[in-house]
Amino acid sequence: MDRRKLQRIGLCAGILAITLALGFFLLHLTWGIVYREDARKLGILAAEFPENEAAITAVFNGKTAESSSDPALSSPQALSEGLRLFDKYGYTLNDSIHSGPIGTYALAGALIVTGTAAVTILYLIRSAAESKASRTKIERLEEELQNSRRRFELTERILRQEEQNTKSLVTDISHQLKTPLASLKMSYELADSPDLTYEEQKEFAQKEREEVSKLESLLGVFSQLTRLETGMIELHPENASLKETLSRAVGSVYMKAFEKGIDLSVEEFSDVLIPHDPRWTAEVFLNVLDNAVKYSPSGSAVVIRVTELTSYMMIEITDQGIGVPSSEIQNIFKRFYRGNAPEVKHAEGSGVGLYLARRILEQQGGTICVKPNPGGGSCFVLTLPK
Amino acid sequence: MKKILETQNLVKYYGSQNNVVKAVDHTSLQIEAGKFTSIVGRSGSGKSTLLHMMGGLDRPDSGKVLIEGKDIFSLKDEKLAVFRRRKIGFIFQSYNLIPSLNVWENIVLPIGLDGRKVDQDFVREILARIGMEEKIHALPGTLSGGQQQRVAVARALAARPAIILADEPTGNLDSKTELEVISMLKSCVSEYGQTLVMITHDETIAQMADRIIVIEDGKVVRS
Repeated sequence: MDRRKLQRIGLCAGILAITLALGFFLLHLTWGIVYREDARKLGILAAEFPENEAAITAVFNGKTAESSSDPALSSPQALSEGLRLFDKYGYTLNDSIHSGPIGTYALAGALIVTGTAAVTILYLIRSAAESKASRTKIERLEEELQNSRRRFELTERILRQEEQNTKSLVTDISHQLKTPLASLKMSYELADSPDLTYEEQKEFAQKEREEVSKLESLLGVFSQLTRLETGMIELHPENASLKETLSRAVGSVYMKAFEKGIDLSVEEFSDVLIPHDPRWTAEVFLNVLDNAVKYSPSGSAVVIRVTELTSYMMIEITDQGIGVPSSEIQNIFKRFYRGNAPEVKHAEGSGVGLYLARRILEQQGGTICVKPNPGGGSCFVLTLPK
Repeated sequence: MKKILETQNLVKYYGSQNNVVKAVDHTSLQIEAGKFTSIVGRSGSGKSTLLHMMGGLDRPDSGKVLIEGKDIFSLKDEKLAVFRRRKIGFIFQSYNLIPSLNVWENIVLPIGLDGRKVDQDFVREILARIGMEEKIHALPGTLSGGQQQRVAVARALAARPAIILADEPTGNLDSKTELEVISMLKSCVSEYGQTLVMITHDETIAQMADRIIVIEDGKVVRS
């Protein structure tokens, strides 16, 4: 930057010096010509009037009216007298300009001055434009810097959030474990009391087994969740058949649906290979299907429909179950959120199925949302990029 | 939470004294960087006016909009236009593509206006993402609504703005195309670390956001 400024100053000084030098040179030439012209006129006059030689030379030397004997010829009068004589014999300023090389030099002088001025102005304009361009460039670079800073901050925040997530996950999990543990503990304490009938003892034992299996299934969910949440699981997308992935999920839930008398069906569609992690994506389908079966009455139908969109595959899972109240729609994809309907309260579940589904889909560039099924129940709409 | 955009006591009234419409009525909200926020409300609830002011398209009667801590209405119109062009990408319900320019030209236009060099690879990547790479020479008039909105999405993404503001982006689309455009927008924005604020009256679409702000009569009622 400083160096450029120096260069610019140097250039200006150079132009100025050259202009001055040329100007002085031209002036010097002009003075020489005027001097020689005077000498020529003096020679002619002296030859014409040899008797007045001294007086004429004095006039040419600049010692005019003052030293002259005639007071009428003081400067202003002399000038007007001279002009009158010129006029009388038809000699004008134009003739004077064209008579000698002085005119040419004056023209050259004028050209040099104009040229210099023009060059200087052009230079100033250009440097102004240049500095504006460089200002814009600086702004843009600052912008880019800010952008990359933003990206960096985002990454940092994601990392910090992950850490935060892990902490809150531990809290959430311990909270979830509390209830079954407490009731298990109570069962054992009551079972110890001596005045229980055989039937009552059996009942408590049964209850204990139930709680233990609940704990077991919770633990299964938690270990899955923890691995996904703490980034220990990386999804491995591969170009795999969507139909196969879907069949895997349907297979796992089919018996449950059959036992409950729910008609689970997949509408025919032409299979596609799309990039996805088959194992985890099947888990997503399973979670949604499991809910559909869990919250639907027997005799109802669960339908899976696959539609090919321009750049996504859309998977719709429609049931005729209890539906999702609109006040809860925003919450059902949150971790450990469970609905308020009595059917949900009584059913087993940990409130992570849909949360996991959303996480897994979004990590693969897909989405999930729910809308009411016009005939009652709900319709979960899943997308996966092709 | 790091906020990238904030409104402070924003007010915009329309109409005369007897018949005042309080489009935006002392609204203060904060948008978290890198998140997808949807603003939900019935038509006429003032959400579009709010979004226009958040993007500096419209000046409020009073209140402030801060983007990355900078009060955008302290800028003169010309500077504000430049700021907007660099920081914000807009997506409108009516696409707002220029009919005489082809797909590629429409997408790179804002970058050109800013005097920046077009990152050709990046634009091609976006075009591939939105499935329009074979249509780059097509004029908007020859495209379907869904395709035009994809182009508008690509145009908003291509300049890599920090914030994308979308005003009912799928209002003119059928439900399948809507789903697709939103899915695309959502995954692109999260991939490129941008912040998305979307206005909608459709609760189904709003669900896909990380956060939902509900507006009624110019006021935030739930967020």
